[in-house]
Amino acid sequence: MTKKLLPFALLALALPLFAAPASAAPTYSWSVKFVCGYNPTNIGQSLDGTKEGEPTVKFGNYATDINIYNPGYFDTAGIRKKVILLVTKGFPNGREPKVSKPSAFDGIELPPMTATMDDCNRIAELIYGGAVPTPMPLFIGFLVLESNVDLDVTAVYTAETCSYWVKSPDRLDCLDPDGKHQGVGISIDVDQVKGRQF
Amino acid sequence: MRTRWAVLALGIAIVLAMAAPASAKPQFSYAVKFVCGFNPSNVGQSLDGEKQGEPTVKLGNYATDINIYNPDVIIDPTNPDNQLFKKVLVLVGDGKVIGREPKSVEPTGFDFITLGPGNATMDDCNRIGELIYGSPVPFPYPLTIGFLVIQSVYELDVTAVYTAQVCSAWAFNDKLDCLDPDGRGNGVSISEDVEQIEGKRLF
Repeated sequence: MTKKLLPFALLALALPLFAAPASAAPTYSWSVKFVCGYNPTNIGQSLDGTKEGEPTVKFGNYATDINIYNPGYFDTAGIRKKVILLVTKGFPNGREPKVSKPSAFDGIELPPMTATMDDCNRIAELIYGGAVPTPMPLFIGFLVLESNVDLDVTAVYTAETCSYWVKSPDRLDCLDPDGKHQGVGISIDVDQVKGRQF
Repeated sequence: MRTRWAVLALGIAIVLAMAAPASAKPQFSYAVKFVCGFNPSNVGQSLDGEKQGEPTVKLGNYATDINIYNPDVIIDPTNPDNQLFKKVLVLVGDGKVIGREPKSVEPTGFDFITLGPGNATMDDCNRIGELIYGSPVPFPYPLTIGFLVIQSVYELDVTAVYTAQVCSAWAFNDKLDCLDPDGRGNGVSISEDVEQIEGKRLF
């Protein structure tokens, strides 16, 4: 009887070696900052809505692209995502003394040696639950990733400014009052996001 | 008898599964982000192609230069272990978002190079373009974003230079000039970011 049970016992021992990661609890976490959308003003606002002082980020148009790669050979990453908004539609809802809780959730199974991405439109889809407005209002916060395996996470931040944006049906043009194109400023920053092991 | 063999086979499988990583050569992996090409719009698109919201990166023209140095001091340039394996994962290709959640992508371009100790090499948008689009590389280069993953048995020094440029009206001549409707040069803005890429030891 013991001999008959031995193969099953060994099998039970062996299975977790191959199958554990996909179902395991998250052990790594990355807090990826995002800055998305259009801030049309160089004046800030207080928590009661009064226009004053400095905006959270300068007048401009912001985009964030978050790329995620599973570098492992064997383990599928079970990734949980949550969005924590600190500035919502231009309003600094998470500014001290306030705190923000996660307001949207997402998840994906990422097989070994594959990649995925989140950008402003994906984050906005989670927030709005559907079509994303154009221009997208200013949103700032964290996309928190939790995974059972170690990942490579990189974020690209681009920002652009123009003294006078004009919205046409499918573009945000930088034009002067006579319709002539004006100078635009751009900035790019690419960051490898360090994770934390629980 | 059969049970004994089954037990033995399972035992060997378990031992191999646990021992393999320890006995294999180390493997370092560097996932280098690249942002290449021209994004002509400040409006994004959904996965079904509808124009809305924010683009993945702002209207502009992007370039990435990835530099790789083998800091090893072992003087054996013929050592096959000096070979680097590269793969390209494209998340935005031909200006279209293809790897956005809930989608994921597999590698689509592969490359090898032998990099002797004390030597350096580089990949830029044109090299990545050759692997993805073939030769000649299209012009203007369509917006292409993803990872160049470099794998090596030796630890490497990997650095990436990201540059971005914007003009409110690019002229599609052979130089991508920034001109106003009267053909006069317009203001151009540039940004640069240099990053040292940290690798991961896979085993």
